[in-house]
Amino acid sequence: MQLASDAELAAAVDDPDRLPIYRVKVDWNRDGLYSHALSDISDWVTDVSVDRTAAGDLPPEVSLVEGSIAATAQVTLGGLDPNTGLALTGADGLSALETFGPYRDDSPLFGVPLLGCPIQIDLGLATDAGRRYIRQLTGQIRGLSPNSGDRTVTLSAIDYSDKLRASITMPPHAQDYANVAANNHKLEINSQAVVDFILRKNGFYASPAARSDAQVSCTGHGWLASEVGRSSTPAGTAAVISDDHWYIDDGPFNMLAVRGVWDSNTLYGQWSCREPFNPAPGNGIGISMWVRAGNDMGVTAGNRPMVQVSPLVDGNAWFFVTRMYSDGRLGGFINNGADAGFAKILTAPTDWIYVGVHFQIRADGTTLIRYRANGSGSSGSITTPLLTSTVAPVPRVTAWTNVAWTNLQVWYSYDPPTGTWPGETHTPTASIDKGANWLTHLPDVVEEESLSVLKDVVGAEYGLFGFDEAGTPAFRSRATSTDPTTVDKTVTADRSLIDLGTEVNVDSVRNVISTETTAGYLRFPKVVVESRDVTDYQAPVGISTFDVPLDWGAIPTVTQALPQIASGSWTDTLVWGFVPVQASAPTVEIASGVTVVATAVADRLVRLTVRNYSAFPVRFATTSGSPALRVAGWAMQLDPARLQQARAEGSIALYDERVYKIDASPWRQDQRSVADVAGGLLSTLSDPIPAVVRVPIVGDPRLQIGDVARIVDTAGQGSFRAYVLGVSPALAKDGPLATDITVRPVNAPGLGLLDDDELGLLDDTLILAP
Amino acid sequence: MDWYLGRVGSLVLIPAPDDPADMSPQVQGGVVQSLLGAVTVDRTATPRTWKLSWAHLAEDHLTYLEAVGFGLVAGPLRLVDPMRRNRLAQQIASGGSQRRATDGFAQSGGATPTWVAVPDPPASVPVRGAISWQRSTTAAAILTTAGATYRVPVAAGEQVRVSLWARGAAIQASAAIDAWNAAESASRTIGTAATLNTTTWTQLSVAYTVPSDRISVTPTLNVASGQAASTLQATGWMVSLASEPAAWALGGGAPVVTASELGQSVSLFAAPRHTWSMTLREAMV
Repeated sequence: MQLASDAELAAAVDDPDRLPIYRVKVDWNRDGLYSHALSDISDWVTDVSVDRTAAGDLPPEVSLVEGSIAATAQVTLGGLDPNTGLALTGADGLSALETFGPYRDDSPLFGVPLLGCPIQIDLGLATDAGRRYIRQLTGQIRGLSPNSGDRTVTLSAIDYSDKLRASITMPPHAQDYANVAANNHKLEINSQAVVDFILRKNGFYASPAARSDAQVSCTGHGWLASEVGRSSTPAGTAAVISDDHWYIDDGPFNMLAVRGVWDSNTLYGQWSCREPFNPAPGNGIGISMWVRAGNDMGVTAGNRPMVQVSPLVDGNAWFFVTRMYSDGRLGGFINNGADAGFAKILTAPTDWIYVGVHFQIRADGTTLIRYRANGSGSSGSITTPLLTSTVAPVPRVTAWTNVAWTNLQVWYSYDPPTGTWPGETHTPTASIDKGANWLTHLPDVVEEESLSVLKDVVGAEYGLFGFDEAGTPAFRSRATSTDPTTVDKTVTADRSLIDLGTEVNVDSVRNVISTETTAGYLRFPKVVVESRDVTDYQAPVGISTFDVPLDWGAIPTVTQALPQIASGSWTDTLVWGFVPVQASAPTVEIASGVTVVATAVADRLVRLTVRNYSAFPVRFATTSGSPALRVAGWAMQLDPARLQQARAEGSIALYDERVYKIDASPWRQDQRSVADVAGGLLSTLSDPIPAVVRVPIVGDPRLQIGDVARIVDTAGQGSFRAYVLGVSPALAKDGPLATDITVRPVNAPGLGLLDDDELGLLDDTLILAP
Repeated sequence: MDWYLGRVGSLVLIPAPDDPADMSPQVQGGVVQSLLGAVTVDRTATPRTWKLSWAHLAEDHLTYLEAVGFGLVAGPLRLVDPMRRNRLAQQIASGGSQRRATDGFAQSGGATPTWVAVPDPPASVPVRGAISWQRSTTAAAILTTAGATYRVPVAAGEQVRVSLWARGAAIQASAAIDAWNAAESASRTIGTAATLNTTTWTQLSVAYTVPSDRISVTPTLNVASGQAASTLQATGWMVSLASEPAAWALGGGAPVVTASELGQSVSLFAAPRHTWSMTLREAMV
């Protein structure tokens, strides 16, 4: 409920003599300021209505707040003042018809692209402490319908769901089966990460956005996949945490964070940058992240690595590294066998802070290292260590989990940030719960529309997604959207309940809930690229490259120099290698002069570089004519589907067996994640439960989807608690401030949830859930 | 009991309508009823309608009223209804209580005013609240009405009185009247200052005889320079004829109106042979 703690507003809502107010604004300039002379169109408004509904897949009797929220609005502008009979005029002195008539070239808005402009709709009440406007919709204009007959213009608007149109391709990311099988490591992906990933692709950021020049960005909000750069190996190949998930709930910006365990320096995520980095004079590189650290961490003395960036082929011989010290120092070093650099003391007690280190490699042979922490900076200079090997195709970035972290970024720039570093401050533009769904792998999603993927992800766990009244996208897990214990609004027949209709039908009974889940894991080593024909990758003398698309989930190692195999040794069990034969005489092997290197150049794309310095065009096949080139890596393998049933035998005895199937979905992978949904469905569906459609009440613009309403109809149908799944406020100049709510009862009559009159008393009247 | 109808500055004296003149307010908004009968009134406005009729009209009056009825007279038209002696808009008269907001008020020399609920208004002013106005310095300051819409039309020669109720720290304050000419220039007449009290309301007033070059007036709460910084509350504003009682009245005596439903009926067999009627509707402000 909006403004729930505003006592004056609450009193105004309950006042029998009320002064409803409204305000409608349009951002014709599209600059977020709503500062156009005609932005406030309230003077034209004669009625306004908003419809906000959560629509999901479950039957209406189910006691869950789930689905996808859609909000629309309709505003009637202009026409004749019902009192004076004169045309209503706006701030320009014109009528709405004159202003919005499509061919009125005398309109101040003529030529302005009107459709798609942001709109804000507020309803409210005058209270004893002043006016209270309560936002009902922030969205976009979808249509305008001028009518010369009654001289009105009907404006229709929709929430910001139209903004979720970016195409989505999920990165290849999954649990490594070896870790799961050998160590029972719980490295699942939380659905928060997926929702966040999609929203970020559409410009909504619950946590700081990636820099435009980022080479690697990993939010850590429930996964270790990167949004920029590539996950070069599955996350956490040597995890030691087995008692819980990788993630902690109390990260910055109310997001999941990678859990920090000081004494475990073997748990890490690893990624590849987008581009190579040459640590030569004139170049610079930065590393930043949010960490939970401070000057009182109370951990074992010493230091632990946080992030290592290895730009050279010999990645462990020369690298940039940031470290955290037990006494609260942030270190930044170049290591070529020993650390060279400095450490900056953290000045505040342990909390989530932004830290950053920038290395500026200078022409005078020094590297200037700048530090950022606790909102201030410092710097120091070292002699740049000599390089120990050649520059790698792409640097490898490794982040350990010795301290909890989120929002890791690596970027290239010679100059350090000035002032506040990017990502150091942030105002969230999205609100994302920890999901109730844990995934073993990311499904095969390629170039799909954002909103469609979002609905699938949220629907898989019966969560709730939509844009709130302020235009902020919000994902609510069912744990937070479905909590009956706090009553937000009491609607009573003697004051605010205008009508109430319910229906109980035996068709609503479901006493067998079946579920289907399919887990999938990456397995190593597997063949990720294989020649299918003897002419595949055939190459002339010289250097040839072939970009080979990968199957879903396949991840090659970053750079893989394939071994040459003798034709007689080529077997079906080999996972990597090649056999070179002369293209013109394919029974003749080429003994030397041919190398093949596989390089991962993008998600789902590997580049084969064939260097053929023999005297013959080369073909990759055995002398007996079988194709013979394979690249090894991780490959996705799905488990068989797992079916499970939850049954309510008592209900079956009464109503016979009635099955509700929770359909299979690529996003339903973990049986535990859907088991409690099945149990919840069984408890509410195994007994007949009244379905309530729309309930008209005395208008209350504070109500929101997910609120719990207490409906008190003592002299009628009794009283019960219900979840609000739809809110439709409306106000007209010649009508009341009205609200229709769509609700689902929290529980079947008498079915006990709590020791409460409406939720079930813990006495002999209580009927336990089957 | 003079009735006037016309633009500010061009008021025309019209004949008093015949009895009974219907002057009923209409609650605009909606009324809803709960299952057990409780009523909630949502009030977006309460405009009034005047249904006036005349059995006899002189030709010049008929010409003018017909011109009004046919929309030939430039607006906005103001009706001076002598049945409501407080010519201020109800929003101003009630100290912002009509809209529970400061709409229509303006100030200089102090802070932006706010509307506050007042549980103990003056006994003769039964309204919800008052305008609260903070002066953080000792500079001269005024609290008055905003814009031309809230100016009160007056006729030359009328003696009018501005009054308002105020309370606050013990400073000297007075009622004042700003009289406007056709060129939008105002002259101020300040009444006798009185010392305010924090809890007790004081009615301040000033009288003014309208000269021929003045067409409208606005009420003003005036605090002269040198008075201590303080927060004042003001409600129960009134502009009325000085000859009428000083007790506060509801307001709405000079609304902006539009004319509609101009009627003329002819009786062939009974006197009077002609009757005229006109409906005036209060334009929402």
